[in-house]
Amino acid sequence: MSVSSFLDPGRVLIERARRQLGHGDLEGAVESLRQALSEDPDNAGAHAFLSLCLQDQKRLAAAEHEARLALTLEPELTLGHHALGMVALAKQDARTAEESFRKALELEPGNPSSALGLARSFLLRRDTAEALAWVDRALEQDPELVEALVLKGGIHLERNEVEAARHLAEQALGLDAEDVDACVLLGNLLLLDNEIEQARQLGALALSRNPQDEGAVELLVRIRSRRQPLLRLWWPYAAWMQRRRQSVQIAILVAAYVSLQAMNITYRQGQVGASVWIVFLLWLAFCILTWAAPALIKRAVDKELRATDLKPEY
Amino acid sequence: MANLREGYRIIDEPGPTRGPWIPVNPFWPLLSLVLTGILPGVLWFLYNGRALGSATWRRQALVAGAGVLGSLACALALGAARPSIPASAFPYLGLSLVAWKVMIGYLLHIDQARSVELYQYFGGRLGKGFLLLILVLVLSVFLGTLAHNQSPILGALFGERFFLS
Repeated sequence: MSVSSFLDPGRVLIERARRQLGHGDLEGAVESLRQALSEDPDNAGAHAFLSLCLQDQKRLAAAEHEARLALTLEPELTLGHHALGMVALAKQDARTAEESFRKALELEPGNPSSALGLARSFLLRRDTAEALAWVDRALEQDPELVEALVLKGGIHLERNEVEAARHLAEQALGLDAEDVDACVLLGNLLLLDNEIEQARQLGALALSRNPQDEGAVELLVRIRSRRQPLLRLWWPYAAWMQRRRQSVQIAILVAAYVSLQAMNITYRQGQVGASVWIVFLLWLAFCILTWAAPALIKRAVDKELRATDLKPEY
Repeated sequence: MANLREGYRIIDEPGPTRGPWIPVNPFWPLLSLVLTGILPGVLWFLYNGRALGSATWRRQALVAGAGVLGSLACALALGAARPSIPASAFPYLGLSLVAWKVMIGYLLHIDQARSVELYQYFGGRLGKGFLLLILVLVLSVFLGTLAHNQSPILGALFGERFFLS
């Protein structure tokens, strides 16, 4: 009889999920947690942990459901509040994020991960001073917290304090040479200095660790767009659109289509003027950017990856 | 659909697929909605959601229902106001029907796009939507003409041209 059979099977499975996540096996971690919850559907910790994994898979509705389930089962579960805060951050809901992380800190004062979450909620509100203060609090608790060093570096980069950002990125990579966010941060800094080859290597390394990492994809597209004018045109639009709420995105798309229809009516009524053609050309450009661009970006990233030594099965 | 995971079911995961046809990328129902009227589009969306085993099918059905009712209300209001509106301005007001149906289409498309990703993640396969689109377009012209002959308000559900003409 193995030693693990004496242990709580739920805990064993959660531990396995933690190890799988540590090795970048997100799908495996979700399956281990699914197994844990099949055996014990009331395991609040497993629900909260599953919520964090689902967020990494960009399944926000399911992640929020799991976080709320965890808190229904155990209202004082720090990880549950943390998970809910992370979902709120992903949904750009600064108020809920702040509330959740403050609650998590109330339950576990000095928890560096929750302090970092709170810092991120202030970043959503563009309050960088308060965000920096909370990152520093997290670093007081754990000076070698790579996530905090990278976040602080990102804030410095946003403030154009390039040297400070570079120092922090290098410090983070010194602690964990394969940290995805640290690779992306240093990659962006290298790109500023036109050190394209090194930036590309870091982007590819980050993507090999997490193929869904938006920062890594963004870095590789930025590198590619330096040589592709069409991509350079599209990228700012896509990044701008991506940051908008879904309702705003729909409003923009509907407005674009209705403008075209209005132009069509004007044309049929014989009131053709230069403005009609301008609207038509703008709409055409909009269509190309919206529908053709995702295929374009995939090709661009693939080309960048081929230019590195990364193995095809990344 | 093959390969559904056993045990605890995560809320956004597709359930068993239903219906005789395989689902398509929701881009096709969206295109049919844009090219015809709200009714053919949302019916296709609803069938597609069912075939995908979409976890949010009920919400999609509510959005679709609200879409059809909203279009009817809009067409009724426009029909009532038509005598007092200059003929050249009426087509522009008719754009409110277009804006409404496209908004409903995008809402359904966004919902189903998520379901499709998960459906494919679990090994589901998508059919080709182009031929079905042609069929929907032809049927819409036929049914739209019939509906228009009954009432222009009903015609509006199959396309603005049946209402504005």
